Amino acid sequence: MDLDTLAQQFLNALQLGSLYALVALGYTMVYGVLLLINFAHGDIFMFGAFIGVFGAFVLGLPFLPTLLLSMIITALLGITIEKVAYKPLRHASRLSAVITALGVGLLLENGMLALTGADPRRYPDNFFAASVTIGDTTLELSVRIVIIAVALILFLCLYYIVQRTKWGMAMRAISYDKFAVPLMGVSQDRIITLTFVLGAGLAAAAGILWGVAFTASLSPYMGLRVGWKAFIAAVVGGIGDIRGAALGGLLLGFVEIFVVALGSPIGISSSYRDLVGFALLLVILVVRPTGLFGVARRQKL
Amino acid sequence: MAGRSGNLFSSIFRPVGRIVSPVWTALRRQLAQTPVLAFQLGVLVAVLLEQWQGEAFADLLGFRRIPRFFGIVDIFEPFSDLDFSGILAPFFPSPNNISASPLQDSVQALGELATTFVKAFFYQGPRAPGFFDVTFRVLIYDIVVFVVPILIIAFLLRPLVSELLRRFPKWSLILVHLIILAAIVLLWGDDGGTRELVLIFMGINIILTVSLNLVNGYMGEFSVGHAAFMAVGAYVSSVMTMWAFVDDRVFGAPALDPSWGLPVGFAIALFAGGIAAAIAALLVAFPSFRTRGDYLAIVTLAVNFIVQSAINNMEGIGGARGLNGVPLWSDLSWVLLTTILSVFIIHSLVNSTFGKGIIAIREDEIASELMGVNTKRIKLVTFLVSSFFAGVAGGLFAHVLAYINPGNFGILKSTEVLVMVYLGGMGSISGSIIAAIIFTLLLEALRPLAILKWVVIPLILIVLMLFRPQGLFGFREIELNWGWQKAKEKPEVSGATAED
Repeated sequence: MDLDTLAQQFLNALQLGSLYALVALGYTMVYGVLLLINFAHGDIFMFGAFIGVFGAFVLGLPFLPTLLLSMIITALLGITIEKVAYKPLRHASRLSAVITALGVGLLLENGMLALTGADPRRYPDNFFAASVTIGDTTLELSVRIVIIAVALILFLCLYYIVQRTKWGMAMRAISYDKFAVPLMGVSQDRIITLTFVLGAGLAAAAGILWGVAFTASLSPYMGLRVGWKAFIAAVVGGIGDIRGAALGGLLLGFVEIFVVALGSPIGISSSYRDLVGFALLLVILVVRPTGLFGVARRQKL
Repeated sequence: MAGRSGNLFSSIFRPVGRIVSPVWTALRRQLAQTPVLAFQLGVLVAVLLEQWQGEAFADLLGFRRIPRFFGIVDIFEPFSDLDFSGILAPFFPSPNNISASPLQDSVQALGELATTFVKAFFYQGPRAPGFFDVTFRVLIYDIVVFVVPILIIAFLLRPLVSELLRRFPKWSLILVHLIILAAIVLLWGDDGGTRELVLIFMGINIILTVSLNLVNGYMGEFSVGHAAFMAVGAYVSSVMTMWAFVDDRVFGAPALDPSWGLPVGFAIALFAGGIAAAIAALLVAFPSFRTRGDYLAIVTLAVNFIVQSAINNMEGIGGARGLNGVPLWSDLSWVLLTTILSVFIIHSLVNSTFGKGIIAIREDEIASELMGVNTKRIKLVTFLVSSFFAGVAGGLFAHVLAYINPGNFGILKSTEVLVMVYLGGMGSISGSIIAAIIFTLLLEALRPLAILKWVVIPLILIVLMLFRPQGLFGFREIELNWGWQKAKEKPEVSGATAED
C-alpha cells in the first residue's frame, strides 16, 4: 500500500469514525443521565437524515441551514420521545424502559417506511458544494475533510457545553448522583430534556453528514446498522463518558476501514468488518469490562 | 391511569356493567369450577363437529372456505390495500420523483387513503367483504362451532369428570390431559396448510419464550441475543441432517442410510443443535459473567451480530445465500412433543431447589451468595439450559422452512422473542406460553397489513410497557382448575422487580 492510498484510507477512517462518534455521543449522554440504553437512537439518526431530504428538496435550503433545521426538528423528536415513552417509566423497572426504547426504534423505522414509501433517496447533487473563496483563489474542499471538520466542531461545542457551562455541570452532576443533585435545586427534568436535545441534535447532524458521505445510503433502515455500531463505540469507550464515546467511535472507524484495506490483499473479504468490530467489543469487555474511560460502579450492599 | 376515566365514560358503561357484571360473575364462577379436562373434551367435540359440519356452516355464512385459524387470519384481510406511503412521500422525495406541490399531493393521498380505509371497514366489492362484515360472520362461526359446544359439553361433563379426577392418581391424569391435547392439536391442526404452519411457529415461539424467560425473567439478567443460539442450533442440526440423510447440492449424497433419518436421526440432530447452542453459550458466558446488568445485554447483542456475520462468511454452509434443501421434518407432532418436553423440563427446573437458587439470584445476588447459593454455577447452568432450548427451537425452525439464511436470526428475531417474554411477563411460564400464542396469532392476523404490521406491533409493545410494565402475567402463574388435589403450596418469593 503506497503512501497516497494510506492517506486516503486514513481520511476514510477518520470520516467514518467521527460519524460513529457523533452518534455514540447521544447514546453515552442518555446513558450517563438516565442509565437507559436508548435503542431508538439509531433511528433518530435516520430521522435527521430524512429531515435533510425535506430541507434540501422541499424547502430548497443549502447545506448549513438544512443541517440546523434538521438538528432542531430532530431535537424536538428526541424530546417528544422522552416525554411520551421514557418519562412515565422513569420509576419502573429499567428493563421496561429498554424494551420501550426497542419498540420506539422499530416504530420510527417502520413508520418512516410505511409513511414515505421505499423509493431510494439521496441529497441533491449540488447540495454539498464545498468551496471556500479566499481573496481571488477558490479552494475546493474534499467532502471528507469538511465532514470531519463539522464533526469536530460539533464535538467541541458539546464538550464546551458539558464541561464549561452550568447546564453541563448539572448534567455531569446528575450522572454522578441522581438522588442528591435534585435536592440541590437542579431540575432533573430539564437536564434530561437538555440531554435528549443534545443527543438527538448530534445524531441529526451525523445523519445528514452520513447521507452526504455515502450517497446511496438514505433509507428508513439506515439507522439500524449505524446505531448498533455507534452503540458499540460508546461501550468500547466506556458508556457514560463523552470523551470515551468520541474515542470509541474513532477506534471503530479505524478498525473497520483498515480491516478491509489491509485485509483485502490477503483475501479477507470486506464482509468481515462487522465481525471484527463486534469481536473488538468483546475483547475490550473482557479486558476492561467498563470500557476505555468507564469507571467501575461499586455494587452497594 | 385507570382512575382517570371521565364521567362520560362511566355514565355510559356503569348501567351496562350493572346488568352484565352479575351474569359475568356467575359465568366465571361456573367456569372456574369446571376442571380443565372437561373443557378439553369440549374442544375435542367442537373439533369433530367442525370436521363434520364446519364446511357446510361456513358455506351457509357465505365463506368460501372454513375461516382460517378461527377467522383470525381473515379479519384483517380487508385492510391489505391500505397504503400510507403517499402521505409523507411528497415531503421526502427521491431525486427523480420530485413533486411540485407536496402539500397538495399529500392531502390528495390522505383523501384516497381515507376512502380506502372506510371502504375496508364496510364494503369493498362483491368478492371482498368489509372488516365489520367478516368479523361479524367470523364471530358467529366461532360462537356456534366452538364456544357454545365447548361450554355445553364442559358443563354437562363436569360432574363425571370431577369424579374421575378424584379417583385416579395425578400422573395418569397428566397423561390423559396431554393425550387429549395432542388429539385436539393433531385432529384440528394437521391440515398441511395455514393451521399446521401457525401451530408449528406457535410451538417454536413457546420454546423460545419460555427458555429466554428462564434467564431474563427468573434469573433477572438481560440477554438480548437469543436468536444467536437459535441460529447455532438451526445450522448445526440442518448441516447434520443434510449431510447424513439428504441428497442435496451442498453436501452431496447422503452419508448414512436415509431411512434412519426419522425419527432417530432428526432427534439426534435436534439434540446436537441444542448442545452446540449451549457450547456457544459457554463461550459467551466467559466474558459476560464478569459483568452484570447492562453489560450482559451488550455482550449478548454483540454475540448475536458475531454469529450472524460469522455464518455470513462461512461459504461451506451457504454463507449469506443461506442453506437450501433442509429436509421438511418438523411436522406438527414433532413440534408438539418438543414443546411439551421443553416446557416440562423448564417448569421442573424452575420449581426445583436449583430454581429457588435462580430466583434468589434475581432478588439479590450478593445476599444469595452469602446464604450459600453457588451463584456462579447456577448462572452458568441456567444460561446453558436456556441456550440449549433456543438451539432446539432453531433446529425445529430450520426443518419447517427448508431454507435458512443468516438473515432469519438477526436482532429482529431476538427482539421478537424479547417482546413475547415481556408481553407475557417475566418469571411466568404460563404467561410466556400465552404471550407466545398471542404474538404468533398477532403476526399471522396482521400479515395482510404488510409493513404496517411492524408499526402496529411496536405500538402495542410501547402501550403495554407504559400501562402494564410487568407484562400480562408478571411474576405469577395462571391458576387453572386442574381438579386434582394440589401439592402443598409453598409461599413463593414474589415480585420484587428491583434491578441493581
